Amino acid sequence: MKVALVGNPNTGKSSIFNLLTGLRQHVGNFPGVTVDKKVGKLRIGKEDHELTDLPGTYSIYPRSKDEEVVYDSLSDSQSENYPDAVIVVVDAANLERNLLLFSQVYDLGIPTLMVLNMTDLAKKQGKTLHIDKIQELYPEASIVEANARAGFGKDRIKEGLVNLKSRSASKITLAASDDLKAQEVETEARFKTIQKNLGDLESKEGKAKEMSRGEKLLVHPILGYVIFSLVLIIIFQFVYAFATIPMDLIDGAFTTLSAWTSQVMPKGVFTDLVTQGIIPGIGGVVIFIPQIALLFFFIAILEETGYLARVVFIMDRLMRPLGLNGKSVVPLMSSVACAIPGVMAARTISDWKERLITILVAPLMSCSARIPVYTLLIAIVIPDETIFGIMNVKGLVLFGLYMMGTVFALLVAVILKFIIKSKEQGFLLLELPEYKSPRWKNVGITVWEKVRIFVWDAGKVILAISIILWALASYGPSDRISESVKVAKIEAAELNLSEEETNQLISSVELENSYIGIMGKTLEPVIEPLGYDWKIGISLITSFAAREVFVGSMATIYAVEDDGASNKTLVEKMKGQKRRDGTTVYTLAAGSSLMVFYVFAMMCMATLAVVKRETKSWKWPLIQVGYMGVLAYLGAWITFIILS
Amino acid sequence: MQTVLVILVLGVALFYIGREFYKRFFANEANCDGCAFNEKVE
Amino acid sequence: MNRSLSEISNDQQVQVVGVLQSSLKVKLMEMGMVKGKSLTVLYRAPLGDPIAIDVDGYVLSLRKDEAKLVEVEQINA
Repeated sequence: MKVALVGNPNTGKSSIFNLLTGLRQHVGNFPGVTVDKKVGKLRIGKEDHELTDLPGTYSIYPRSKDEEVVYDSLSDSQSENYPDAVIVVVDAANLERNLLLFSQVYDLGIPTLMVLNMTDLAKKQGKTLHIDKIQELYPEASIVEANARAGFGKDRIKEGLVNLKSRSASKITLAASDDLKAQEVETEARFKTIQKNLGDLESKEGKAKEMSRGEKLLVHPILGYVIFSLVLIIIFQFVYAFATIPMDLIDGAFTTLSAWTSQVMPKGVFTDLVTQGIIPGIGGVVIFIPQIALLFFFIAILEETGYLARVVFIMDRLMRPLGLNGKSVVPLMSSVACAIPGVMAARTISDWKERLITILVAPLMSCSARIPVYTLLIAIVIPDETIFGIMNVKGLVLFGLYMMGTVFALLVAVILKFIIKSKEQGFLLLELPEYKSPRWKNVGITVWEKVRIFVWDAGKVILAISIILWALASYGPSDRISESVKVAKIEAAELNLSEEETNQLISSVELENSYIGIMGKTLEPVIEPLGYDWKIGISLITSFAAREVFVGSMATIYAVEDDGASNKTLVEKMKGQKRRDGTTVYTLAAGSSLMVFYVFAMMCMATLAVVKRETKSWKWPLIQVGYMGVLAYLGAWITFIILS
Repeated sequence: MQTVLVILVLGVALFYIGREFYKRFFANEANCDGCAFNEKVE
Repeated sequence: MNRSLSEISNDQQVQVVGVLQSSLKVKLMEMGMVKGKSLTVLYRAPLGDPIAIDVDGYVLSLRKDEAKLVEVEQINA
């Protein structure tokens, strides 16, 4: 049986979903979505049912992209998403507003189960619930009570699903999703009926909420921003302070594993593939887990507690002159972990122009895939000094790179605001939910989902690219390689090089004439003004698949070059890199220029794919690649000139 | 033997990348949530 | 006398008279802006926009531009 779960936002719908399915859920086909359809398995007795969590809406008629899923799934009985039954989660403390959506769904004639949630809150507010009377109003619906926060109601909901009442044929046809007039008439009529029927059920006291001092502080005209900045600083501090420890451990473990494998496995090309391609490739994925997990842990807590809605509230007025929306804060923050969930989270923005600008600038926020690039380059070129007694220069540079990305995201947004034309007027209608303590189960499930999707979706692609890269670095046109190796051997003999030095020269020549080496060489004239050599060129090429491949590529390139024999870490190897003329490759100027390049360049196929799908056009992803590429090249060039 | 394995793994990797690339950029998605979006843009 | 919701100062209680015709009308109605509903303006974001109002025990935030569409009348407390 296919069951759809619908309800207003903030009714505890996702708690109910988690309560019913636990970890037996997955998110659509698409990576990194919380706004998308979530499907879980619901076991009743011995039977498995498919439970789909549809985005929270106030009405069946959509007003933003994420809400369209609800209309599309329920309006067309021929659709493959059309459910056999619907669970409508109803907030007992806000019955009137919630019954609008419920009555719309009820009138579709699908077997319907009403889950009255948060009954404790309603009672606390002095509202008495007359379930029997509600039952009279909707005789063909089953009604159960639940309190998902306290984890109670699971069995009743299951029981309710088993005993669903069968329905007489569909009573209404929905208005078209763009027929506002018809929707207006319908909504008005529905509210009239609901008000009339509820009138004697609910004592309506127009008692305004008492605002606590804490609440006032969080939305205070000045302190509100101070608190939000503090929250951000604390989050990022935690993410960095705590993530580096497991990341170093993971890095070390994979290096050791690689060395150990090369010893125990018989010598041969497959062993090379495993130790130089596959193991570093997997390591390059796994190393991101701590950061992604930590960042989403904090974002999930902010969302759970209701603070995120306040952030949207206080940021809206500031974001508007930039062509953005208060809701853009969430996509931009998520993009610090990864632009993919960020771009998708923009679906909650109902105005297409604000949404489009958010999507276009989100990848400028430094995502976690850039962190290894930054940290590697900072370790190589930035001196380990302290200024003003306390500030570590390396830390400052890292912070500066993040600021650069953020500032340019906002600048580009302003420019886009004047370029993109829109007839529609943006709007913000947002419920500010009550503050609650976070439900750790929901937080845990969010973190688990994000990590799992990253490892499975992005991870497989990254691994495959590492493997292909290894092959391209290990093989080349055979006559070209043998010819240049011959030359190198003669050269080595002339210079009286030791055996070790000769071997090194040969491998470096082999790499230079491998397929990827040839590609890097071809690119060299273009990137020379930025201070890069052909090996960096190789990494830039592979980075177009995904930025994090940079470190992996560097590792692969230098591992191939010295046959994986030396125990030097990557930083040591790169610091020692010399050009043919003996000058250092990774100078301060070249390294900084490379960092700036990575701040701006749109080097992530997965994000581009998502942008293409979200905007349903090639135009926007191409514009994005274009403007970010220009920014990257100019920025890197200027940096190199200033610093050298 | 090792060469055969390498070719096999490489083949799988290439196939996978190709398929993903096609899927993400070119395949028509029957279930496309972002689709109506562009109609408003034009 | 009818006024628009955007002109109401904090802590004032008012009653909805109607929503002006616009593409947002349905959405505002869905959020509870229906005739006869009593509202209380709770607080404003910095720079006075958006505003947060109490609608039957839940807090709704909306921009000034949206609030202008909602016609209200004062309730005599």
